[in-house]
Amino acid sequence: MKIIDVHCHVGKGIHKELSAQKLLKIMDDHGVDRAGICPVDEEIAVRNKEGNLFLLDLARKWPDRFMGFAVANPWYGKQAIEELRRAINEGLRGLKINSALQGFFLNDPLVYPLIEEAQRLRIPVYCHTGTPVGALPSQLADLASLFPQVVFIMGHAGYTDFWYDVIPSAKKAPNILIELSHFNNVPTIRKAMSELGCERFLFGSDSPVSSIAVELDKIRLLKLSQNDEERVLFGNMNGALG
Amino acid sequence: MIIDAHTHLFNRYGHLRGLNAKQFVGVLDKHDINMAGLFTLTGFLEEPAKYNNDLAAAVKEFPDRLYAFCTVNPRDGEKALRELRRCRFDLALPGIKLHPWLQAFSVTDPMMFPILEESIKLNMPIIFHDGSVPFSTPSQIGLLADLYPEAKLILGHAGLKDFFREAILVAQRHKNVFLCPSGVPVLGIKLMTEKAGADRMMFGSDLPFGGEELLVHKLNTLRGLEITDAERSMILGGTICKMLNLKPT
Repeated sequence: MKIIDVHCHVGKGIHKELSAQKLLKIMDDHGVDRAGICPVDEEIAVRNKEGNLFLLDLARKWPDRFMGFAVANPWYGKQAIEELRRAINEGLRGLKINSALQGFFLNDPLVYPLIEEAQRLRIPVYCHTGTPVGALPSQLADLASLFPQVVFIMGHAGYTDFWYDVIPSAKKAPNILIELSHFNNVPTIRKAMSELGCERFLFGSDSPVSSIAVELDKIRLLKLSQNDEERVLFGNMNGALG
Repeated sequence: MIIDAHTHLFNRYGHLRGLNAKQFVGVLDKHDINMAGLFTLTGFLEEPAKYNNDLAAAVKEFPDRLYAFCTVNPRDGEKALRELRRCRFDLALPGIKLHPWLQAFSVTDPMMFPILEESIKLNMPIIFHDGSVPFSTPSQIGLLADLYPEAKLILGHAGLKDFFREAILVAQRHKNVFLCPSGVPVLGIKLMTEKAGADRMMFGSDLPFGGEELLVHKLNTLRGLEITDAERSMILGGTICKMLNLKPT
């Protein structure tokens, strides 16, 4: 079975560190074919171009293994849009937003121009969720409903305190896919899958904060049919990349 | 030896069915867990005394397998202190569980101060739900640790996902703060072990939330963690046994 891990961080952050080589080794050990990668803390918040150049280098070295999610902080305005366009034209495949780290509310009009650019570039937008006050599933639902042609990925499924918001948010905006890293309540995931359909869910590890081993253990515990497991682990994200 | 230091005993909570004492012990048997620490859930929302009695009854049924922390409503003032003494002396419950998020109070509300003082007198550790804004973040509990250095305070979720670094800082600054990393990502558990120490940490599943599957997942996560076996053994039971003087058979 093919596996795509939607969300990993590569580089050295405040407390996390993962090299591309080490990630590839872990992917090989667990049968993960491809990983969506983004850079770490500082590069997500402020040093966007450095982060994107780093991702481009890795995506060029291992084009079959890595899909780079570009970072662009909307506080940089026009510069952020130019940076996103440049990064995507040079080979990155998506946009990653962490409004908690980048310092804005996820549904603030500040971010609209960046999303409009993502729409023009036809790329998925991965949004960190679950961190109050500015990175919540309900805010993503608001944003996503304004841009129905853009595929949004709800990172970490709202995490613990916001899981009640996940299903209504996903219903409000059908263009949201739910990435499951850190959200490990197996019966709750199973119930959400029966309500929303497996086609709305994506496997992600948020390595190295969680890990591929830990997150795969959880997916296996869901005991999905082979067909549904294949969709969560591979097919849904593969489809979203077009 | 494994002690699960964070579980809840209840009949029904919304759509969720709880486990009774016998079912609890069945789950413990199935996963080679020696003992579980029970907390209420419904008792956070209703009259605590009734639910403290239920906890004591469960422990009486399986004294070798279960122990329980009582709860009180800090708004009850003197009545809450009397209930603490009743739980300690009549029901033999060794600790206190507070859930500021469900019970709707801030941990630094002055009504909490007498509760802290009584917990010191009675030598009852307090385990808090934590990691959730606005009432119960690690640094808020750190303020209590400043005010009451003799109290034993346990962060019941060690900061969850967003506050685990803060939980580590609070534990480093306050020797009386302990960590139950139920819901902390694997990197956070590893960092905690390195920086705060396994002798300050205890395993908790939050059973029956997430069912047996989440319990299995959390045990698998801990077993796969790159720490020493001595550290793993402290987290899986050593720390809580020492704190409560438990002697699991």
